[in-house]
Amino acid sequence: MEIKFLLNKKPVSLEAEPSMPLIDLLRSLGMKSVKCGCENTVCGLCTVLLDEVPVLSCSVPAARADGHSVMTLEGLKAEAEEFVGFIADQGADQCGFCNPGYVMNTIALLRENPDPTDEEIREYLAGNLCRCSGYEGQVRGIRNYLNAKKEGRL
Amino acid sequence: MNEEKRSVGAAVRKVDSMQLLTGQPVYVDDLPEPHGCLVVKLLRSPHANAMIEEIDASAAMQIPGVVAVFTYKDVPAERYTEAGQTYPETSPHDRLILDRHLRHVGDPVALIAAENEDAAEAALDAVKVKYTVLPAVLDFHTAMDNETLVHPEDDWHALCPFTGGDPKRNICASGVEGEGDVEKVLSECDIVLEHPFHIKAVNQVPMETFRTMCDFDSNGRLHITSSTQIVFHVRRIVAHALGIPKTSIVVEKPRIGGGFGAKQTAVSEVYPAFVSWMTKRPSKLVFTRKESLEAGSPRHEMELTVRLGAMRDGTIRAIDMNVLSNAGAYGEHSWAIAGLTAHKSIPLYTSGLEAFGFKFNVVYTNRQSSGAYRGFGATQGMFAVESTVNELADKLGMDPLEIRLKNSVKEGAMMPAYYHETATSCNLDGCLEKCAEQFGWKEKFPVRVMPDGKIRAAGMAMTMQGSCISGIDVGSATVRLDDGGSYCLMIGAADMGTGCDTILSQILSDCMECPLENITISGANTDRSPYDSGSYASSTTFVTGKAVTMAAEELIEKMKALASKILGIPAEQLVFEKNAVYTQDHTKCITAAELADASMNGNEIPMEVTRSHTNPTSPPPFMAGMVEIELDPETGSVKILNYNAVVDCGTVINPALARIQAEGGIVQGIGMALTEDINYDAKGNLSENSLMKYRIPTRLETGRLHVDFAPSYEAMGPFGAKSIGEIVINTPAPALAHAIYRATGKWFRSLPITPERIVMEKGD
Amino acid sequence: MKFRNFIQPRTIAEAYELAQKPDTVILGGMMWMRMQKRTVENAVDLSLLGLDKIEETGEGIRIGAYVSLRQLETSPLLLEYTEGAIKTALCPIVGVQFRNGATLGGSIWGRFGFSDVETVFTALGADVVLAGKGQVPMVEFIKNGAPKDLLTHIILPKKAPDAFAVNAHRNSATDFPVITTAVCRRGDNVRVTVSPAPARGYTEDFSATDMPEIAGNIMKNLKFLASASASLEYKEHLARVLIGRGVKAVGGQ
Repeated sequence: MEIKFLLNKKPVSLEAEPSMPLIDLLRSLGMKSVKCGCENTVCGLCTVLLDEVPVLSCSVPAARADGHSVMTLEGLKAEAEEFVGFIADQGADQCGFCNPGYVMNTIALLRENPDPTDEEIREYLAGNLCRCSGYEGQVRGIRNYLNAKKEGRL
Repeated sequence: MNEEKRSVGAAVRKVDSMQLLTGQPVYVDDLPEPHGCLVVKLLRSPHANAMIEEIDASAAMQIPGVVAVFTYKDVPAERYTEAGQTYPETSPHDRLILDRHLRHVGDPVALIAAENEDAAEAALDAVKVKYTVLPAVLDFHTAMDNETLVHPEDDWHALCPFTGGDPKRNICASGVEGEGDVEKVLSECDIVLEHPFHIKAVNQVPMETFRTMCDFDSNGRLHITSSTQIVFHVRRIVAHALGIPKTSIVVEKPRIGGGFGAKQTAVSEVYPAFVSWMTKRPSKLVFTRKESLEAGSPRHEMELTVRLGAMRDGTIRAIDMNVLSNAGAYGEHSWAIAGLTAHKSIPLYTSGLEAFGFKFNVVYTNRQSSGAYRGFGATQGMFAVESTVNELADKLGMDPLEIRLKNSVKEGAMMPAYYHETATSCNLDGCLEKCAEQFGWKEKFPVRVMPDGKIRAAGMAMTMQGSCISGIDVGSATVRLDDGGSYCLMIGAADMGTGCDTILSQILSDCMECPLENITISGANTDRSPYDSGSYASSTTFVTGKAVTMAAEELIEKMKALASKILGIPAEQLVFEKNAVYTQDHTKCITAAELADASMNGNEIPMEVTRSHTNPTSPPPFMAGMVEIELDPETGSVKILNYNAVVDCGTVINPALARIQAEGGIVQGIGMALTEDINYDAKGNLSENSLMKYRIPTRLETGRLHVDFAPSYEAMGPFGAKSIGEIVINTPAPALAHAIYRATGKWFRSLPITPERIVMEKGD
Repeated sequence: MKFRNFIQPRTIAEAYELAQKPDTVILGGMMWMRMQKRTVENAVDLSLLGLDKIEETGEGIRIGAYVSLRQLETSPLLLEYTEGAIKTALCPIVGVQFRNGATLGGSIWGRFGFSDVETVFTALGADVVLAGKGQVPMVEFIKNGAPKDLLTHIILPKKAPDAFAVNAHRNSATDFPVITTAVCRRGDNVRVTVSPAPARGYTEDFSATDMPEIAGNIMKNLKFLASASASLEYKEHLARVLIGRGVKAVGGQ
């Protein structure tokens, strides 16, 4: 079917199988930040924003993007760069393979709740698996960012 | 150099961090695909033990887009091993690219190459295979001398006879060692504890599964881009498997999405390499998560029986360990891993130890092949020994902290069970004491029942690992003075996310007394990099890091020689400081930038040095870990409240990266202890074959982690550093089993310790 | 799962008609369904039917089948109605992104014995609205299903529970529950719902005066099956413990 959608705010129109997973469609369009880690909706690596809402692009059929807006990390680099340096300062990026997914979900978290507690961060990001970092460095990084922002150090 | 400007000791960002955090395309499957790249898929065995009677690919070949289907009839007959080890490997040469004999569910039956994913998928269903299903050896207790042989073939061969394999008895490797009269000392002890411990074949689960892409370079050589820790070993393994010259292969790795030892085995490389070599077309193979879980290279399942003898005052006098290890269908890393169970656990108790014994048998079964996983056997050994010591403390009514301080290895001690090496740097007691203080051991060790009925309790463990394979691992560094007074550092070690590119850059930056920004690093490529065994055995910082310092020292001499020519002053009268060469009175100076310019103008002194390093010993890092849990006695749920760890990894080169190594390793260890289960059905199918079922910890299950350091100084390491990569996974299992015992009165000596077991079982 | 046609009906009647066709599936959030290895002709998407709303109506709270689990757990209306229990119950399901995708209808339609969502709404005394059959109690729907019908809404009774408690056990955080229990008290009625996967959910009503005996009595009728996640005995043990906790929480000291 013909699928028209906004990809990182730019209109895209293409022919695709309706049941093609959105992740495959996005990667075929060069959005290589979107990663697959589990193939069954539990790892969070494929997180994208569909109409501003974080979803697992492995479970969204391409047809459902038709007429909607999809944002990937490629389109949110500037927003990410506001805080990811703080995660880098913790060394918590590690292998990096899970980073785009949890950076996307952190963007969603901070838009929804600009001043989350550590517990709220953990709860919101619970569906983002990481095997390298042990997670705590990611939380410290986000915490340091929030503190820096509050203290006007950004 | 100004202390505050030093790179070593600073928590600098990883050199690649912003690329990774902003999702740049830096992994195998993100790189531009060569034109006409074939999709490779493996048809895998549905049976645990079977022979292929007939295989017919004609229908599959009719599917539009299918380019080739290869079967056992098409591959070379020379057996090889996928283990990434220095040649001659201690792993037996026991596999073929495709074999008529299928030895586990998931063993490759046919290799499919197609123009696209759909055609390849369709071909998987279209290959017709007739199997003769054979009885399978699934329980490793029954493997030895079973009438069913996993490797009945006659061309099985071991390159290292001392590894003790006997495939006609299903023995992949075996060994016996010891010192002193264990039986006699045990008979003199006041108390002897003896229990078997069981650890399952847990999976590393790097978030990026195994994957490899192949194409051809401008000279027609096979160019392999792979997610691997071991580029040089991969070149040799592929050359061997395909029966082609090593000169016809170049291997490189881009960024790697996690390894943890999984990618110290060439799990995926051989298949697309074979496809590309045969079809002369580029190809790519990406393992699904299911494939990675069913046919990867997980930890060796083991049963370890420990006999530990002690006196009433807590002096540990003898430890005897008997290990049965499950290789699975192929023998990758089996001998080496079995050895580390004892070599890394028993030496912890060197102080009063009069004798030790160690015996191991690694058996073949019809399960997926095991391999290297962070901790490499030490993890299994530590669970058994540390649990036994915790029980000893309990039986003697001693504080488990005191019993450790009493028996722990001290600096300067020779460790008979550790290849007779000396603990040249050791602050194990410092780790224990600092950890106890920060954790609040005195307050948290007593069992506390909370108002809601939940029980709080604590447990502990200590551990050691190595910093390389003594006298075998080779690390090399090439350092070149570059335009503008910067340095290009070329290495063959593989940064798999751990940050070795950054750490080695920090080391070089301090050697040259220049800002970190002056260092560029070029990762592993068999054409361009100096030889390195690869990133495993915790060796990169210790061995390759030392090679960096050696190369830097030699480059400084060359820079002085060039400066000497320019200044007309003998080199001996020149000094190197702050990235420049000075006269001793500092009246004259040539900066590295000026030397770089001069080196490119009528010069014959090479401004490039390669140094290789190997260390005759493997100085162990040490670590203490303590955990506080809250256990629900009605449901069996265990919640981790706090996990404290203190590590002696020698000089901490980068505190941020070292801390993350520790935190990540602890959480992996928590998963192994509590949630990561492995079960096979009666036909040899793995139940936990997705991340829905194989439960790695989420961020809700880690508790609060507190990591600190109590460094010793290891003179043989770069700037006094040892290793940290593997040791960090070892303490959670014994510490958690200890805490659970404290809360329930039940010792669990097999993993994982699930809520159901806590409630329904009596303990092991 | 693959499908050839993606159809977005404009009316419920149209959607219901489509549901009668062979080789047709109604899509929910596609969380589990997409993992099925099959190809169907028609996939029907209900996005255009306005089924993504949580509304207070004269008869109670009407929730569309396309409301996401995340909408449920963040709805002030439902948080108040359940005194926060809806959040406690749904938060452990995988992660925020998953719960943004998964729909109420999809979670109920499958009549999964492991569903936290089903347990919560059954215990709360919800009705389901089917395009063909009309409004039926959820208990009945869970028992019989409604082949070829179309689930459009869930309706919660106007009267909020006097007390409501959800207790579940998971072997690890965000995993499937081994068992989920919900206890709902309205006046003298205490309803207990248990999801003892892989068996279907079970619901029984008790009088508040019998509260001390509930945990014991319900066990006589509850049927468990062993599964990969737990043995029969452990499930029985957990059910007793968790129902006991739920009953205590709704006032049965």
